[in-house]
Amino acid sequence: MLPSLVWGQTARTVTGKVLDETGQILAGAGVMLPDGKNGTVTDIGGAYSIQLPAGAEVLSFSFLGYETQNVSVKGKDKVDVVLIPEKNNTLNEVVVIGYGTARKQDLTGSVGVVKMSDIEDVPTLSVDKALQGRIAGVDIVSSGAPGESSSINIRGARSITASNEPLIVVDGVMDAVQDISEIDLVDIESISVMKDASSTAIYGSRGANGVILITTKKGKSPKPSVIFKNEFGVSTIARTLDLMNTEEFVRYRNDFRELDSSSSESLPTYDAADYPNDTDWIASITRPALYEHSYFSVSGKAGKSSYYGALSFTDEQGIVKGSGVKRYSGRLNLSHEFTKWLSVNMNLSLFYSDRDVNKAQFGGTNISNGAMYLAPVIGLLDRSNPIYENGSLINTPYASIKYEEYFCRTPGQNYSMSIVFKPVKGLEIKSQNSLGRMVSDTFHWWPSYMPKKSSGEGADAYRFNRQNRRLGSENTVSYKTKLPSGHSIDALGGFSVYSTEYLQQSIRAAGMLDDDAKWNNFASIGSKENYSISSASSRILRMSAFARMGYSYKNRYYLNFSVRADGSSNFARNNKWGFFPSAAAKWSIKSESFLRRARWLNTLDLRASYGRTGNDDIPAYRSLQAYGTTSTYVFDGVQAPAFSLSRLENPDLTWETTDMANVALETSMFNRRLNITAEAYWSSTKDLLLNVTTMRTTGYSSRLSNLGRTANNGYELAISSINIDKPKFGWSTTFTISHNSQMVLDVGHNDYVPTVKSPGNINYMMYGYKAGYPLNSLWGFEYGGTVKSIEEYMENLDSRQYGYRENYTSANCLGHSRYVDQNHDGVLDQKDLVCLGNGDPLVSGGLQNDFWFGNFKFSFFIAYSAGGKMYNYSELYMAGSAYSNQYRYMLDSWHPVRNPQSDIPRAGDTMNAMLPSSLQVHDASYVRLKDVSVKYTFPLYKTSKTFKSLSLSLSGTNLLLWSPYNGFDPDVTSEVDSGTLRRVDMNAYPSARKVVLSVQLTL
Amino acid sequence: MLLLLSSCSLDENMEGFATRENSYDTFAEAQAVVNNCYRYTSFMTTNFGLMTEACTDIWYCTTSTVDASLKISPTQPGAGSAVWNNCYTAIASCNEAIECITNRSSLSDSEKSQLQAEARALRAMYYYYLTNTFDGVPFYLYMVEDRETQDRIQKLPRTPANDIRRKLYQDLKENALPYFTKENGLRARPSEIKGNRAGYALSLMLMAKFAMWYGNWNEALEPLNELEELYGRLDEENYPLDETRWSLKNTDESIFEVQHAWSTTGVQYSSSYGRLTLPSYDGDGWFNGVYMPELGENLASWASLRANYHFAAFRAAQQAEGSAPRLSTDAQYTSSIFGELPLTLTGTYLPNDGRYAVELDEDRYGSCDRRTQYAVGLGKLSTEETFSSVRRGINAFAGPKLWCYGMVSSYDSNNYKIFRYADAVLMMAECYAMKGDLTRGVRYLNYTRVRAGLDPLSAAGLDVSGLLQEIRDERARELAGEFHRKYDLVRWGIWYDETYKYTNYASLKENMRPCHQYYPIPDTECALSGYVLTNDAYNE
Repeated sequence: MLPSLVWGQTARTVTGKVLDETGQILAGAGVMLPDGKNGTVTDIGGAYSIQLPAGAEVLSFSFLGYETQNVSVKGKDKVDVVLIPEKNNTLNEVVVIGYGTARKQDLTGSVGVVKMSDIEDVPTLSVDKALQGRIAGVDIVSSGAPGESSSINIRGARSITASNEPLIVVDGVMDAVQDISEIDLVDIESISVMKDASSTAIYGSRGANGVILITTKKGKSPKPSVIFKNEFGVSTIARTLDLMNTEEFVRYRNDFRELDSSSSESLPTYDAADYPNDTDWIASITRPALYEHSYFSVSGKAGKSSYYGALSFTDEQGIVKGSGVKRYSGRLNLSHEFTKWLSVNMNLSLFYSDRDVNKAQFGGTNISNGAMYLAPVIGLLDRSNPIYENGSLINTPYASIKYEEYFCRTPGQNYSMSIVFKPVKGLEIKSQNSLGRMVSDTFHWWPSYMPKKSSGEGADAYRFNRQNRRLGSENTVSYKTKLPSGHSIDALGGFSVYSTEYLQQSIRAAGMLDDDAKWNNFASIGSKENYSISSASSRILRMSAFARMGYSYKNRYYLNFSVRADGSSNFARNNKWGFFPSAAAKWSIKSESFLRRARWLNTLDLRASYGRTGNDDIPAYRSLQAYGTTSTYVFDGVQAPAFSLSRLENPDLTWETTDMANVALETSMFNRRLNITAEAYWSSTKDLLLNVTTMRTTGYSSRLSNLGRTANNGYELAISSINIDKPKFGWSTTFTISHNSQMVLDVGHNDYVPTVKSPGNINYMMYGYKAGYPLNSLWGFEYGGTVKSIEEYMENLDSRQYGYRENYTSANCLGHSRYVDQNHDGVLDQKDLVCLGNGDPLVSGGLQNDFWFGNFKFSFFIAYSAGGKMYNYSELYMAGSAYSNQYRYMLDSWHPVRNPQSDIPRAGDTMNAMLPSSLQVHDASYVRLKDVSVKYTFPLYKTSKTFKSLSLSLSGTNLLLWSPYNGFDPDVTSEVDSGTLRRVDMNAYPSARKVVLSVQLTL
Repeated sequence: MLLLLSSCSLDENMEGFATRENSYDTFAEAQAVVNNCYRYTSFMTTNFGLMTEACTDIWYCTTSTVDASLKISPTQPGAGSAVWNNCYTAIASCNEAIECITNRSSLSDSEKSQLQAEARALRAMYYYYLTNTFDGVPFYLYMVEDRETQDRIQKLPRTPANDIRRKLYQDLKENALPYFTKENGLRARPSEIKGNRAGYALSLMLMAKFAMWYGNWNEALEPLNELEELYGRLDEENYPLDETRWSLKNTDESIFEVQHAWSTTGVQYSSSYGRLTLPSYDGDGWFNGVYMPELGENLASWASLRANYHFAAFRAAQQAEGSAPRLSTDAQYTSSIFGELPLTLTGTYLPNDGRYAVELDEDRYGSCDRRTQYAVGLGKLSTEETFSSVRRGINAFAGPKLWCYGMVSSYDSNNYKIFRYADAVLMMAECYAMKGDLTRGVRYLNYTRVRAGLDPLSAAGLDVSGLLQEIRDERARELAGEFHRKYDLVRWGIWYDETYKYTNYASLKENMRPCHQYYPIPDTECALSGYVLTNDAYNE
């Protein structure tokens, strides 16, 4: 394969190799003579040999996606060339899509591609934590605790009870991971996020929430590539709360005592001098935490085989003492081409995570021992919280950290093997079979000397074991052809089967005699009555058949159809099968003759799609009637087993159905230096799997139904530009902005469906669904300030403008909070609840900036969100409550002498605050300097045969945050399991600020 | 792949959980469904005690819990929501058990009839508490078969309470009583039944209670007479007064008691009412100035239940601010239900207390009502130490009858004797009084009086209202703290006036309104019913 032309006697031969920027060989690179007519390509080893005519001194080297270089070969026989990737051109990039790949220019659906180079320097255990703000329309929130999963929403939430989490497919296997954090970021070759229904409908009943496709790395070059990477860093709490200290708190308590007539008898007058403690509870349980990540990989290609093997270890301590996670993972990806028509791929991955679960309570409903709520007068290891009046014993969060042991070990394995036949050109038959197993083992131990325990009570121990086994088979036949007339066809058909089995068991023993054996000797229990044991199992089987047909004409007109039929055992007998079609079209306008002259314009594409997807993500057996089993009432001194009502049958239970339409305009201009993608979408979801609250008179508190409708629509804009592109200096920017609005259209015969309710003995909806309101509406009473005069109070008896949470009289009404009595019926009740705002931001997104100065790279990423509202749940207990520490602003609360005009409720406004109102609602907007990194790469390949490069980088995450929210962080959620709820700050783990130094050596 | 396909079935795997179809094959399984019906008595806890006892003429409690000061409203239903939720969950469980055992099980007829009768007795009890608490409530006796049934129930309006009571009286009479027989051993006192399961005695008691609520004295006497036949004569020999203590479990006098057990390392099924009925805790084994470590360790310090002056008054001494201490001149011995407490002023001035001390008067124990020892906490009787607040002349605590010994934190392992024979005897007295049969009325009243060491009353010189007043006061003395007082007062129609008149708790006096005789249905439930259910009394 060395075509050449001989130009007379003076011709000579030049040989050499073409490598990429990392030193990997480039096979098939073009080597051209300056005339542009004659040349050759490099062979599979990257080598070329070309005959030069006399006088030729320059060769042009080119490769798809790389900058073409003209290299002088004057007087040289051997010339090796390193090509640098073309910064601007992403069009030829191959994008992974469902059951295949496509060139980016051929995509008809909405697929967001994560630029791996943007996140490769982000020091994080879990890749999802690096993604927030980077792909328009993808919202990621997490609890902040290391090793705990994040909640990902693609284009908002549409389900109310069922999950809103996207389907995650790793190397073609569904559910290969329980959580993205099982994969080391460095192992990842590409991440594609499928956003519209035409891209996800091929995943049928699993696709409604979008699909994230992760592809891991493979060996590429004949020369082995070896990478060592080491990261080391420190994280600290990013923000703390503005709470009272002892002196301020004592003043508050004295105000409370003075103002509250009913309790003044029993309350002492506080004197700061009596309280030696001035405990900063948040500080007492947090720490600077270390981060370490080591990674080692070998990859390459040997003849017809390619290999990629990697080992990694990550140790991420949590900023809360005693929490953190260690992850060990190994991966081996092998492929071999036996013949031209038969090849085999094997992917093996193992991981093991050892997570120290956070033992400290911050807030939430842990009123008697949450760190935010504990008064500063309480000592670190005190056994009771005097403020919480009833004197029950407590474990302070400090004591929990000090004494408890609580960790979770999760080993997992995934094996998959695929066989690919290519009997004739364009036809590919592939069968991929996989098996996976994951075990989760939880250990929790409370020693007998925990402060809350009484003498003789003994230690408590808990073991929980859950495992799941998954067998999967994906089988496809695809055919691609391009006719000379310009018609191309790309067809795919297949079927898949997944069978998953879950097993779990737990045992908890209270009153173990032996403190030393921990959970290793459950037989040492004092009384067998005190075991609580549970076991359960479930099996889910899913079968599917699917097909896709793509057609294009001269890269100008594209059509794409897909369909999937899904059967799931998760659904009731009357509804086992579902059918999910989609269609998409694209018009490459730039290819039309009327735009041919617009040289500034590189591409202009218009695409539109429509499709239907489903969501079956609810626990197994929900359609069947069931009794619960419980150990219960005492007969003859022992607790007899009992069957209790658990749920009623629903033979019609089925998946939710989402219809989504998407239009997009994509353009690239000015020599591809400015790329813009604008998209709009409309989706509507019906037959919501809805946990409907039922009246307690019916014997059940809720039931799962297919009821209701929601609608989403939104806009996304992504702009990337190369602002400066000089040989020694470059600057590029990527900006995303998205808006998603989600509405509840119908919640069946419910007036409303609460998702978070206020604590206390009547539970008002704080977050919930009501037809005609945004999905993430915040509900509560409208705060009406304080009662400032008795006249005001008396007047209100007639006008009924305000209601109170308790019955006040003219004698004791002053300074108490009041709420707008919306219907003026004189009673403050459910009917006075109003929508206090939307939890979803108006717009959100991010801004990435990259700069190059020679071998320096500097980049920073800003994530932002604007317009969302959020409850500070802790204020429900704190603002004026008699039981907890207070935010410092309570020093400005109403007082008859000092502050008679204040609208902040008086000290001890109520014993049981807990009435959700606009008083606790805050603006959750923020701008965050999320990632910053500085990196220097030593191009070692220039001087060394062994080493290719060494790079050093310093990076930081979450360095700065601007937000009016007064909690730890507006972008956390404690409800990671509920994909619907975004940003609910109930006992959420505070977010960390991290700075990491990284060294990477490439051989 | 082939293996996978061959095992392909989209049916759910039914292993591993119980269903209506597979839970009635054996007696033990069916009984497990009935067992569950007992569980919902768990609403009887501290706040229920506040609801039924602390807002009455005899007790008060200064806890901040809304029930104690009646700061309740539809949006703040306090303990009412626990009563509501538990009772209805229990009723659905009972209905399920009755229907499935009767019509869907493969048990023998005798097994079926006895189990379903037990469930009927429990169902009636839950409706008893619902109607007592809320007045009229949604009423249904059928199984929640499916979602359509649920939808129908959600639209049920309030059924007048007395209609419910009449229907349940008949239901128990026809469908429960006949199945508790001598042959199956269930026509017996619960103390004689294995597991102390509910049945015959509870059914009779509830029938009598229902009939008294709707004022049919003959219908009430019918089951009461059967109870008398079963229990015999109430006197110290058959039913010692000492055994009325809640810490003694399943004594002969018991008709129904909620079973509890708690030990640090053993069975843990308990409540927390006991913490309310103990004297205030100073720590380290000291209770209001008296060392009684036997009461427990690591106790939570709660506001205690206290006697109103009307119930048991002893105001020993007072000291006006800034003046010299002086002996009290306004001791209210005479107006209290319990009469004079067996305490004597000593004249010893206690500078720390700012009060004169009192001593327990041993001699007067013999002559006074023995129930003062049990119902009113005066101190440690064996060492004659009085609680310091009694020394200070403040209200008495609840007495040893309701104390739980060996408490840890707030775990009260006492059985709650919510129905016992003395109650039935006093109900007979009341029924005869209401029928105008003063002789029999006094006879039954005297059974409890005599057992308590009081002289029997004579019918001579008493009219009906005089006798009724005696019975009302006697019920206060005999059943104090046992979750009856408010229901009795409401049934007599005097709850608001008597409580307003006698409560010592200013905050309660300030907040209470006549509508509070019944609790509001939780507003969230009204909303779910589409406001078929309302709390009209609370909107006035």
